[in-house]
Amino acid sequence: MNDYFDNWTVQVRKGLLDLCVLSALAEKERYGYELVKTLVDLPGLGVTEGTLYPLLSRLRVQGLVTARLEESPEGPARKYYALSSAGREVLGLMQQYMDGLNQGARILRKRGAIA
Amino acid sequence: MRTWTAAAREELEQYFDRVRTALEASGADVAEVIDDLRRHIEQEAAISQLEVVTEQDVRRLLARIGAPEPPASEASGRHEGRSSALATADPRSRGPLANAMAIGFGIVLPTIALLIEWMTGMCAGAFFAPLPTLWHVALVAMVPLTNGLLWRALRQGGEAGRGWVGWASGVAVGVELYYALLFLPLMLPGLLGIVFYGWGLLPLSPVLSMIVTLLLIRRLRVQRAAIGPGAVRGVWPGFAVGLAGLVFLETPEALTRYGLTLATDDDPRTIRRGIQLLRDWGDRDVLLRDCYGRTRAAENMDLVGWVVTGGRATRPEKAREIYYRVTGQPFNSVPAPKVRTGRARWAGLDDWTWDFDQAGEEVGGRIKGLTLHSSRLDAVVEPDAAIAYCEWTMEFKNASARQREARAQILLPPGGVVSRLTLWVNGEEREAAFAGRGEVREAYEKIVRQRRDPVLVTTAGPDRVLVQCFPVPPDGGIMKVRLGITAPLEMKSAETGLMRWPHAIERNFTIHETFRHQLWVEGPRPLTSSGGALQTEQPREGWHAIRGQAQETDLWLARNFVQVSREGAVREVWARDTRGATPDVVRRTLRAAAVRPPARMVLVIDGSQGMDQMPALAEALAELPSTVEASVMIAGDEPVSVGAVSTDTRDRLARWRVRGGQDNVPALVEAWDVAVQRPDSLVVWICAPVPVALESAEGLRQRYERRPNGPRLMAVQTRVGPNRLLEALDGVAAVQLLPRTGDLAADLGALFRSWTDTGSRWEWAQEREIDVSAAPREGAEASSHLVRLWAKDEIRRLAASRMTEAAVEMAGRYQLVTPVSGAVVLETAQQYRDSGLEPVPPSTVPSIPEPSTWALLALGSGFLLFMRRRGP
Repeated sequence: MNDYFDNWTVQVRKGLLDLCVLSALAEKERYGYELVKTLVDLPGLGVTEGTLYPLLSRLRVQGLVTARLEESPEGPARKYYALSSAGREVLGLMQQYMDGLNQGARILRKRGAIA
Repeated sequence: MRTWTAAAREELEQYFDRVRTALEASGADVAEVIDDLRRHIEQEAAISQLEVVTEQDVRRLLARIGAPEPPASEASGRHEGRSSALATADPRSRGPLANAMAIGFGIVLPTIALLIEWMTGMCAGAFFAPLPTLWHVALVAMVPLTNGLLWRALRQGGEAGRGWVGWASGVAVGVELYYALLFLPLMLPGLLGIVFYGWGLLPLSPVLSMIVTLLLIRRLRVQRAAIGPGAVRGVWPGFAVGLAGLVFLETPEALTRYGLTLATDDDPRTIRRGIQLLRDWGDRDVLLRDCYGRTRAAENMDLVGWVVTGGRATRPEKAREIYYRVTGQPFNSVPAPKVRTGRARWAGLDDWTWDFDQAGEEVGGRIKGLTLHSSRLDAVVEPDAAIAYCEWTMEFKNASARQREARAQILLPPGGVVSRLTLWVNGEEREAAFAGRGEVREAYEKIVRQRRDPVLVTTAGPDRVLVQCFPVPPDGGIMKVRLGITAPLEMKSAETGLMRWPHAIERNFTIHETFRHQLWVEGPRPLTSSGGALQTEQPREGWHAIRGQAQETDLWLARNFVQVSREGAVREVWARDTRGATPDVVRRTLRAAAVRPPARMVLVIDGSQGMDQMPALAEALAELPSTVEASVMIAGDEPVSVGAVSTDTRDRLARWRVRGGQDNVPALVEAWDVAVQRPDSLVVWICAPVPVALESAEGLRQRYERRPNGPRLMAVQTRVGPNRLLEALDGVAAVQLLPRTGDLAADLGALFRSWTDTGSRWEWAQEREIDVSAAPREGAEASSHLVRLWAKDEIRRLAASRMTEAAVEMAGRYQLVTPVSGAVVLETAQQYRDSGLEPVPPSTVPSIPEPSTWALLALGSGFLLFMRRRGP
């Protein structure tokens, strides 16, 4: 049963990862290290830097996020990520989709409780 | 400064090698991720305050980072994820209103706007031409097409047209932006139209479809981003291509408008630059449109024109002048401008356009719907008096919805004069009043303003008259007029005279290619057709006829001339002058006169485009007698003196490159100045039609008027067409035309050959004597046309002697149209009274005599001849 649950959480985590990255950037532009640390520290997401950097690169290639380098006095140059307009649009669609999904799941849960 | 050990570096590189394959499979940019990871590790090392990074440090950090995991959608989830994204990006999922707006404004509205403008020319007719070429149509057609393809691509999941849809939509946006700007001045009226009347959407079409295209591109971009890598590529380059394409297509018009601005400047050098620019790059269609005038609304709404010219409009008169300077052709000698999409004539000539030249003294542009409906020329010849009287009856038809004025300049047979003018009013013939030129024109303009029926004939240069009649009724209405012309026959020998036909040299009505003039000549002696084009017949003993048909373009050619046989022994004719103060007789005597060649000839050659017969001219110059001192001058942008006539001069002339329409006045003035230095000199001006007076001819007129015995001017026009310069020299005795046969080399050759020592020509001399006795006179009695021809010359003499009042009075008495007089037919007696004019009594007008009259005349002259030969 634990294996089944673990597999399920892996699938959910993977599915939600893009949404989480886009959501994290929705509020403001963030530089890579800060963004990665925020997401890595997110409880339950269980994601590593090794997974996040390729994801960020893929989102940039797809035009959902933009990236720019800026020199930093505290260490190596920082790479700042921000949502593109297309990314904002996709995020809206994702959230809309998630809301619908959650609503459906809640309805099912309520029905199950009544039953 | 942090230091990395070699082992640490090696450890890191090994890690990158291990994860490289997984990274490539993830769709990420491998180099970027490696850079990011390297930067991350550097950051971690910095935070951990490592001075030296060892292999162990790297292993520890990499253990925390972990290996990249495949993305969630890479495996089985990819298809599901794609379906979900498609569902939300599919335009149909956006709601019915949004869909209807996208289809309506993106596809349907631009299609309707394109079709309406293309088929009706609505905007072109009222404001500016948004679709002047097929290329414009093709580019605009891309807008609804691209929007449709974008729509389809979205429905099919964004994969369709992956390579080109971005380009196509970029081009569409470029086209939409251009037209949105072009229609900017019409948007507010369009919006107001929608608010108040519920229509006016068409001017908004570009901006609305642009919004739709941009939204569709955005949705496609989102859709593609959601399902995998690859944005909508090529939008910006496509946009640049679309916009650049339209700018390129508009360049000729913009250059033309810029050229027009320069050509209307005050500085001669700027004007020359403008003309040169227009000759090299100008769009003749645009020039032609301006020749027909634009309404104020059209000028104000033409944004391109505004940008290029700064709002400086070109008046039609100025545009016509520039058109001539640029092309060398009168603007009304070519078909009216067309929008080159094959959708019929330029709307600027449509029914709702004002005829700027109405009641004016210029023929002006062709009027749509106005045609010559019928034309018959009936002539009788008096062979022994060598006189022809020709009645030209014309019917004009107006298919347009407005009343129109028919105008034409007519070239009379050499030495001819208009002696009768008739207008049909309600089926009845009304004769003209002959009076001073100013009086008849004033009466005509007054009646035109009242929109009643007048017809006016005035002279327009040597052997030229301007005929104008108004109104040709709308919707297929017909107006019928008749012009009576008395003209001497051109004597080829004592036994042969030549009759030429009058013909239109400029007109504002159309004569269709299939149209034929009906020709008919009768007379008491044999008649033959010069070129065999007409059919001869003898209806009865002692009476001959020749008849046939001629195309408009052939009427002036030698093959339609009529050769009239005459009794060579008859050298003297006379006619009673019943219109003089005393009962007098006008006598006409035929004699062979030696041709006196000019001592000096200055040949002025028009350097205009229409002078396409330079080789023929050079050939004819070879026949110039060596006794004549001749020099050649070319009227180019500046007068060019080519020098004395020689083989080199002829070669240079044959190779001369004519350009545009040139001002001939400076060269003619210079030629007069050269010619006047010797007595008996002649200026021969060989010219194409001169449809526009580029400069005042007063200086030239002054020279010829002030030295009546000075140089003569002989004009040789190479083609049928108007000549404003000759119009300006109307009434100047020293100006004459070389009668043409259609072959320039032959006509000039004949002129030059006649200047040889043995050259002679047959000519008539006319004189008036008091009829002191009623006894029979020598020679044959002729008709009153003989008196009219004498009167015409006498009026000319009086006018040249500045006895204008006497000349006008005489022209009225003899009922002739001369440089000082005109003829006008008004509709009612009241109109004549109001204008202080009196129509001629119908009994006094000339007519085609009945055959019986001619039989009597022929019998009489035969008897006289018989008696003369018998001797005393």
